[in-house]
Amino acid sequence: MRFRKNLLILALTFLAVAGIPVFLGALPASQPFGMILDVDYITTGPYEGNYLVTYEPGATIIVSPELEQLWRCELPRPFVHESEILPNGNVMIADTGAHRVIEVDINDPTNIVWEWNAKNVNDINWTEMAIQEGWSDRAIRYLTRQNVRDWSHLNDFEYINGTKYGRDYDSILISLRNLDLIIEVNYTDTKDVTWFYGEPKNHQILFEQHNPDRRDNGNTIICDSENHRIVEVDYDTKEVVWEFHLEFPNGQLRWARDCDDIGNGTYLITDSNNARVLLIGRDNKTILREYGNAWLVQPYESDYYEINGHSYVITGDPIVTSITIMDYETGMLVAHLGQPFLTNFVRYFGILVNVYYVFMLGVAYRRSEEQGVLSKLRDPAVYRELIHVIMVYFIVVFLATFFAYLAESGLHNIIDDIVANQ
Amino acid sequence: MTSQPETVQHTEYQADFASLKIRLFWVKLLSGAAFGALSYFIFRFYVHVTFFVVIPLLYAVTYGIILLYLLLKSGFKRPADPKPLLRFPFNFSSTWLMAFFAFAIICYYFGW
Repeated sequence: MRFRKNLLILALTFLAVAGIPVFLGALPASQPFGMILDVDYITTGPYEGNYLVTYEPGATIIVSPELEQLWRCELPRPFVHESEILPNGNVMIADTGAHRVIEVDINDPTNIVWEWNAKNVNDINWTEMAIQEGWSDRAIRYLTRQNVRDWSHLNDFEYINGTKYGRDYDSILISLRNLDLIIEVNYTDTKDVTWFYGEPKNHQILFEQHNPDRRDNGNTIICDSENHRIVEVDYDTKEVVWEFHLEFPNGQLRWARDCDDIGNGTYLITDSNNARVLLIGRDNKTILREYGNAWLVQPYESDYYEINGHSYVITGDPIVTSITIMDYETGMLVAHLGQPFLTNFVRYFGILVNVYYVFMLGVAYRRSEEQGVLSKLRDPAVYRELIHVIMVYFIVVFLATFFAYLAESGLHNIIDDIVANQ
Repeated sequence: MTSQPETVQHTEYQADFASLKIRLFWVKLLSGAAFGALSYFIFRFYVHVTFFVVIPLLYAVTYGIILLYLLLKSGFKRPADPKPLLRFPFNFSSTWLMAFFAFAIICYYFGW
């Protein structure tokens, strides 16, 4: 039978197009969430044993392990990054699109019971703070230009129980990524700023940070993401008392977006654009274990938790579109809750491209007038297609790295802009 | 991707594109690989440069190098119909792009 290249291209194009309603229609519709940023295993309260999921485009939900939706909070501007169940049972959400942190009633998700808004002058007076702290003109200029796209990019908060630190009030630690600033505000009554770290647009201190956590000793761990490091800052002196970065041949931290102190002198770091989660020793700064680089693409946040004596690492990865649970001891995948439909679609597309080149290789091989396998492989028409097959196969196998390469070198700004302006 | 015998003749310019195609494949493959590897270092040290600027730019450099080579071979004689000459360097563009991404991935994976 005569080989018709155009027919092959047509058939493969048809298969690629036919995959769109399956991978981007039916599969997403079969699960209650999309691109997950934050996922927490709920350990107490009426929703114990379920998962609190924050996903794009936008909502915060509680789902059972069977992916049944038990609770849902939708916001007017669906750009959310983080959520947490508070000790009073309500859910606090980082509403990035509206530049605010809100607490919603667990019994009525439409009822906002507490709010701190970075654009509300009653919550914070940026001009006053900038003058008081002697911030640069560049910082003041940025703080006053609040109409710029994704101005604050408020990407995280942490509830801090004041009694743990001998205070008579509780507070919220808030990360404002595009301001390169972390502030702590009084949650109990005044909303006053009780502590801060960083200065807008001063990248020597912080550069588009993520996920600050307060340790038991009062220090604050911060993912200084664009400076490729994790820093631990003393509460009183604001000095960096500990720093972690990677050096050759261990690569570098690429967009580290979460670092948790999980006890026993170990930290769990989500190294997003390296598609992995690292367990490191705090004192010797060595990598003790590496999780998920076979199935993660761009993880956002990871947590450690225990059930019946078993330890797990749970990870939210927006590109993988499913909750990823890994065994803490072995690093093996325990479960994907949901379908990784985006990555599977890209893999499917890559396989179709590979099929094309395999066909082309077969045709070139058959048409070659050389005798014997080796002679045929020396035919330029044959080895060209063989090289194409190998290269496409390599790209498909290292898809996560390919995506991370694109993300690190321009794609993530585009994605942010799309999500922030939807 | 298979090459067809092709000879383009003009009064002032003559080139055997079919024989050059074998060489062009390797030039595209190696330049794609080299520029893919180079892109890692560009993004490593110039964090605000983006791939959608760098990739077309490096492709344009590749195109320019091949065109310059062809002009050198012809002694810088201007052909009567320049279209075949100008189109010839576009051959094996997909090879260039695949090699670019494959080597960018390798460097990115092992890079510090």
